[in-house]
Amino acid sequence: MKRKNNDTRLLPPAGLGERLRRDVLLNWRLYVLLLPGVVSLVLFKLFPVAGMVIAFQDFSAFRGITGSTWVGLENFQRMFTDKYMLTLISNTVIIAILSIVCVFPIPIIFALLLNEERSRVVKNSVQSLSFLPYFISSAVMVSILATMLNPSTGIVNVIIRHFGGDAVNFMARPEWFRPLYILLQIWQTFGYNAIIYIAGITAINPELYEAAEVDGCQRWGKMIHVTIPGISTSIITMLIISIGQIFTVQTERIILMYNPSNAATSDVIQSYVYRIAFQSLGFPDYSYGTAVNLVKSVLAFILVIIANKLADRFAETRVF
Amino acid sequence: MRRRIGAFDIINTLILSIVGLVCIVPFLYTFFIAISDGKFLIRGDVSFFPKGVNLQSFIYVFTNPRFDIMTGVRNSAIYTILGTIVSVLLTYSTAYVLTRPRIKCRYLIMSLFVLTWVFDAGMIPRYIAYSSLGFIDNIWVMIIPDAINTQYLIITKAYLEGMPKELEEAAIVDGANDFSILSKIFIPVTKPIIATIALFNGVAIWNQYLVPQMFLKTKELKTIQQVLANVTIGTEGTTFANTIINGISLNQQNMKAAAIIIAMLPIVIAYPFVQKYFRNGILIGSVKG
Amino acid sequence: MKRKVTAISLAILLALLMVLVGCSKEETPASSSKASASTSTAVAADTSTQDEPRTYSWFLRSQFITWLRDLKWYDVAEERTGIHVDYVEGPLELNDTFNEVDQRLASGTLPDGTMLRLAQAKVYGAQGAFVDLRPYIEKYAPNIQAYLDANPDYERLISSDDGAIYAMIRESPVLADFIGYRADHFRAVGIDPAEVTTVEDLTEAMRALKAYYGKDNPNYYPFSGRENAPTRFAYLFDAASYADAEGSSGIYYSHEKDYSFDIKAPRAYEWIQTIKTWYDEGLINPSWIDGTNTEGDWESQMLSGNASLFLDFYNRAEWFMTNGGPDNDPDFDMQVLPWLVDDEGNILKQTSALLWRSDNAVAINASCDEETIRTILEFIDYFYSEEGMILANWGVEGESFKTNEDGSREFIVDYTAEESKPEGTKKWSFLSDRQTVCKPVDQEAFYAWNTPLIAEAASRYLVPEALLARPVLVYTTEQEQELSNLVASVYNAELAGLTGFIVGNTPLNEETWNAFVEQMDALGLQRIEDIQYEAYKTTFGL
Repeated sequence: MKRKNNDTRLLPPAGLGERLRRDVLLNWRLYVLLLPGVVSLVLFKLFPVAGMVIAFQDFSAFRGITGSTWVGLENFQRMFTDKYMLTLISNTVIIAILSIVCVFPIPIIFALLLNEERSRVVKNSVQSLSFLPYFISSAVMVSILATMLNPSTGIVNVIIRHFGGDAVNFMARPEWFRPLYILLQIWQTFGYNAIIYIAGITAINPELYEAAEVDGCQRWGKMIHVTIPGISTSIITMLIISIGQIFTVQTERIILMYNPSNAATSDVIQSYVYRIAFQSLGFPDYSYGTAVNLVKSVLAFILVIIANKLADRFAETRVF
Repeated sequence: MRRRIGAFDIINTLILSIVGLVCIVPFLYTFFIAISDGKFLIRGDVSFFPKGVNLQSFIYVFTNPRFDIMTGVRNSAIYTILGTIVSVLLTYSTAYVLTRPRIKCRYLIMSLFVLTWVFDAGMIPRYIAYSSLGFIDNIWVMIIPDAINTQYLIITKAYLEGMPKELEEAAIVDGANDFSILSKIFIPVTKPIIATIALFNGVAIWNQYLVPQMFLKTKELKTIQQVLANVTIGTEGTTFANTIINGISLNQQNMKAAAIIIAMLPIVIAYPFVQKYFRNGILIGSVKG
Repeated sequence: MKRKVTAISLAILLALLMVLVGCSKEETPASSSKASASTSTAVAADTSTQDEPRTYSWFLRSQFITWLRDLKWYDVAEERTGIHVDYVEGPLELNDTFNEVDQRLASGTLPDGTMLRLAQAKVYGAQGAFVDLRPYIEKYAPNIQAYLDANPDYERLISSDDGAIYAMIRESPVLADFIGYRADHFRAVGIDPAEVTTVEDLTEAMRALKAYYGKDNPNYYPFSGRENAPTRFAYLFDAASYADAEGSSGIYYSHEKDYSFDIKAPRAYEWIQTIKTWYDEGLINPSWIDGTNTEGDWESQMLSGNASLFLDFYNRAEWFMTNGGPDNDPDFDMQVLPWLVDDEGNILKQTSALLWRSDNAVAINASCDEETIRTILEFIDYFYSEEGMILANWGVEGESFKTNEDGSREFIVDYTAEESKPEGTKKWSFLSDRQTVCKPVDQEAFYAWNTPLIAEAASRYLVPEALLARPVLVYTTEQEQELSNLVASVYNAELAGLTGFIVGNTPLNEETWNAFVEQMDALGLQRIEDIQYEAYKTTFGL
């Protein structure tokens, strides 16, 4: 970490209390500005982290944190004997890996194609439309998907029937959950993520293209030898970031797409935690849910730290 | 240097046009379902273009007392406006102070922000914490707890760090205090970042589903996203009664589609006017991500 | 680097500090809000004059509130008791409502009283969340006390291990589902409903209907419905869950009517195989099997002629006749199919509702002062009085019913005219299956309050020989809690497994079926059955 906060003001040596007094006297306006931020940090960011102690309790909704009994590592032991955990973890990881493998390359390809487009009108209008889906809520998106895939009235099944096929209830089929989730992910993020690559392409020195042309490069040659290397840093950065966020699934979307029929593939850690706490048919299991989430959070934390280190080393950027 | 238009260009334009269409066709389709007559829908006669065009479903959805869409829209609008103002104020002022070298504890505070961002406490502890602070059935849950999104804080901080140091130094020489430096010098020259965080926060609040679902229980406080998800995805299948009005069949399909259209309309209407800022905002965020 | 380390360790320290702060905070807002809630009512009670009604707040499923607000007899009850209830709206769905009770307990936002599951009342009651009603009933509620004395089974059911009564349960009318059918469709295809007596006949009828109506309508499936498609049919194969002196099988706990099934029953395999056949041949709506057919979807399918048969709530046939059926199709004619019989001609007994359902309890918040508890109990007690029971089951004499010379009562308002009034209009209604207030049910009035079609069918088919015996079991608090949690996971897993067999995700054969049953046992089904049997033995003193 670089030291950039060398204070230029010269202060006579003084005791801690005296220095504090001076500091406050000099900077009280800044501290006033900072106060809401610190309060919000403590109450809304740190306090919930502290609340994770219920993972070590048998938390009772009525008794609260102070009144509930402590059970040590019982909830974690239960996790290791719970067979359903395997399903949850593999669902979570598969969705995460698919999200990288299938979703990651699309915006790059889109940016490259857009760069080759000659008509300004097409280029601008397509790009403008492309990130509209990013701003549509999960609730609307999943609702639209359900409308389009409705087994009796949806366009997809109407077309399937038109060609003599049998209607498929896509939203209730475990084998269709992942493709649909990924499809939504692509649809929602490709335009948004492409903006970064498009900006990268715009920033490439035109002389490089001219030089490539002198070397006899055609369109493909220029794309491979100039454009792609030109945005390689962005690509690597984005890739590392997405690997770091492997456990960050679109919880809202999954909860909205989940139903008991497709649970075999659609139930991931986050949706499970939500369900056992807020939609349980029995007693809500706040403690177990928190324990499961705690393990996930620790793993995710380690991954993000590694990714950040990697990004720092290979792409000379950091996420934070 | 002009080149001939080759086969590649034609195919490329075609692909891009299809991509562009794919982005809007789902909305268009939903609209077509909403204005179709239910009796054609239920038999699977509507493939894409509407049949028996009418606006009954919209009228029904707006006037159904059980489906309180206007309350939802109004609530979401209030939460979005208030929430955006609060989050811009908080994010900007926090980021500003955290970029001032004179503040000694800024690294600690920033580290804590980042730490709690990377290390996810999870929904349950958050629920317990917020509820013990009195946020159940309290509209401020949409405004206060998430006012500072660490990601936007990082972006804002990075942007402010990019400002030349001379700005502040010159002002100090002129005898300005921190408040006036912030309001007279920084805010005017950093409008792009303010617009960006305002837009991102605004959209995020409008689109929120889980937070209101967990905290806002009273019907009068529910957001449009909740109202929508409950009838289109949830099990609340009885909200929309199948009826025939003036010979037009209303069933679950066209009524739900109408509800979807209403829920996303504000974003779609605002989009053309603000999309420029979105694009800039994303770039600001990524320059020093 | 060093700074980072200090920052992180400081963060952890701070987090620990927050635990303490958080814990002390935990109590304050919760108790203060409770206190203010009850003081406001207390104040209201103190200052109550003749025209100022005493009030208390009550958490209830929103659907129930909507129904309650339209009831003429309920208004009369509030008027007569001088007590007004401020209802706090819960979610639209029953299960969400119970979840919200947990959440309101966690956040300290529970009103003076609430509806809840009996298990919740017992578990949280023992932790101090709810009032032990026993001494207060004795003091303030003579009619409830008389009811307890007259029904020792009931008293044992609602009592906790420590002898306290944390909740009361309402009575449910005896009822079961009926198979409704489009008589006009049957006529068009040439099926005589009297000939449809066995499951095989039903299958054949559906095939004929499918061939006729499904020919040019790809969305036509003869049988449709809502929720839990496979389990509704279990009774047709003697595969309902049970608890008796011999043992217990299937989930009996709190699944008395709709969801009662037993995958270990001798004919359970045949049951799933039959539904699979229906599914494969397109005789049953596939979305229903998948669990994605909502009530609205199902209604729209029945109304638009995309389905001809359903198995649902006993008065639903009538509902379709008065809620758009004939508007969609002038020929629309929905009738009730008699019970089905097995090959030997024995009636296939249906599961019915229990007299006391454990998921319809009422409890009073422990933060209430004595005055509020008294008000609440006095209001409920009214419905256990002679006058209150007549009011809630028959209405007001001369307005909604008359007493004949032989002492029997008769409704003088028209069922269809009253029930078809739009929501938000005051009406006479006596559908006691809906939780309105905690009260005893007059079974005679319940059946009488119907159209001739249903009243006649109900009196003919809802007879003891057509219904399975459903003893009410008494569980300890610990058993309630364990069952509640086990059932939550096992039930879903069973349903998912059965659905998987029907739609073909898992091939259905003896081997996979046995593996499935074993898996469910391992998941907790066996444990559930053990507890149920245990409870049966204690309940009946075996």
